[in-house]
Amino acid sequence: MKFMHRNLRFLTIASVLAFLLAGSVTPASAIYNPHTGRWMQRDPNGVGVVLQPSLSYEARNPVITVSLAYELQYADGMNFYEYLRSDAVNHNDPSGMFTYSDVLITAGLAGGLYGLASSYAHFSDRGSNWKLAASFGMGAGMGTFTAMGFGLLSGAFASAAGVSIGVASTSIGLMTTPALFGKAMYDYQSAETYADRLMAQIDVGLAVSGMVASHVALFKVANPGTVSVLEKVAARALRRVGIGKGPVYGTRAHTQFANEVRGLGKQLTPEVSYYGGRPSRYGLKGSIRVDVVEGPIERPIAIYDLKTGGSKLTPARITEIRSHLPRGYKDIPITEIRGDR
Amino acid sequence: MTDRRFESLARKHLLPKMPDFCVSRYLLFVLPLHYIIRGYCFEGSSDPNGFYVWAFVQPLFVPDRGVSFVIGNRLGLILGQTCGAWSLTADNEEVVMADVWGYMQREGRIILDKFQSLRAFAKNAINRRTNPHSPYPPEMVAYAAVLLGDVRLARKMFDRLEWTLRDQNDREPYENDILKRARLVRETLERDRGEAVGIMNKWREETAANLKLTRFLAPLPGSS
Repeated sequence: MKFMHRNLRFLTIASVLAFLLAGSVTPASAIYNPHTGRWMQRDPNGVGVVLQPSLSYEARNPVITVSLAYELQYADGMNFYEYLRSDAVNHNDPSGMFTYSDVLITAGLAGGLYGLASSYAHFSDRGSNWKLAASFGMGAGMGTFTAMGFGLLSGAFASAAGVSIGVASTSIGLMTTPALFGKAMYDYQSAETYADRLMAQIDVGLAVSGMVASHVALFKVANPGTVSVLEKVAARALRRVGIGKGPVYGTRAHTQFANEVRGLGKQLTPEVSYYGGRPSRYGLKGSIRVDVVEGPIERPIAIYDLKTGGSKLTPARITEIRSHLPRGYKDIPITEIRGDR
Repeated sequence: MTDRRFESLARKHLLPKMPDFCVSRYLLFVLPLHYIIRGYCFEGSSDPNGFYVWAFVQPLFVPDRGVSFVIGNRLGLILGQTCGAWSLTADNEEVVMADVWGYMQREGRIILDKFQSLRAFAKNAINRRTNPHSPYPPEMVAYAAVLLGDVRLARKMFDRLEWTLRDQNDREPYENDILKRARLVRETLERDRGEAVGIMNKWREETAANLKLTRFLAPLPGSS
């Protein structure tokens, strides 16, 4: 039983680490081809951790096995080039590494496995604490399935309601992880052997990781996608400019769009020029001008280019932009924004 | 907005309040002009009446075709309050320029005051906001160290630059140029520091000429 407990603990640690790593990897890469409506590179999340749970019986005792593997997978659906589950309006994934659903499922799995492992250990080794263990186990188990269910729902329906549900389920994590932390501290205080104390210390670390993960997930879920915001701003700008076509109309639309973006704050900077891997002044021969930069100008995390009428963000233009972006940030997503969809 | 319009606005509304500064086209910068230009740069917008203002510091001893903002930021972004853009109408010139001056005092000075000397430049050019992958900051600091006679710092920065651009297949053409000129300065430094300083003095004049600032260059200490 101790063996199983430790295996589950290992899986829990691995799950939490996988989640934290997935959230910290930047920048990612995504070249969008507007002609085909496809991403030109594989979603970086297409190669990642696979969690495969299975149930079997050993001497009439249930054994839950979760295998971990790094392999090619259709992490964001069957289309390798899919991004944000084909819904940039309701999802936010500037790094290209995960969506809300992934966060929720991973966090839910990690918390659930942790809770189940702890409760199982308490059931088997400490009969006197069975009520405490059972309550934590049930709570964690319910949290897992709730988070997984809501996560899948928000992924499947990709609606504003899905995001709201995501916030609610992540909040469950916010509430349960402090309780898990309290229990880990209780275990630490009452530990009698060095091994128990060491395990309790690991539990404290896991609970803290869980708390951090929940906060990160909540932050991600609560922030609407930048593309969504900019599409709405572009639509408003085009309404104000009115109907038209040609370069003069395009300039007017860009001016209005820039004016609207200025009011957004949120680390969105309009009209930035780059030349030779650094910001430069507008008009320098050979420099490129992008409509919106997300993040610090010297260390951008995404570029957005407004297109109106029949104009499109071509692969040649994307390549040109990339050649002038600061070193270390050349592979950030470059996304076409349209207000006339 | 035209460069002439920027110059006129700066002369009328900003220069009287900034005695140490000088205006040339879209640049408002501190005098005397030795090795580093530090000041403000007006930048146009797609809006014909709109503009941005950058607080920036640029070493003249690094060859450059124009103004670049490796060190600096747009006013309004430095303290993260707004995205710093102004638009002039027929009757708001006074108000807008007073606002710009306010931002220069609140935000611009945060940057400019850190780079009052070549030594301060070598010390502060690389900080927590610097892009750690960019070859420009180590190049700038390496050359500044050569001018200061700090050979140890110069070697350290040249090594850092080589490490930053170590992947030959990942280099853009301009990065090859950076590496080429850095290697030239390093080789010259190892042979004769005076000669290396001479190279940078030549580059200083070239960059100043590209920025159309030759007439503002101050004589270097020790030169007749």
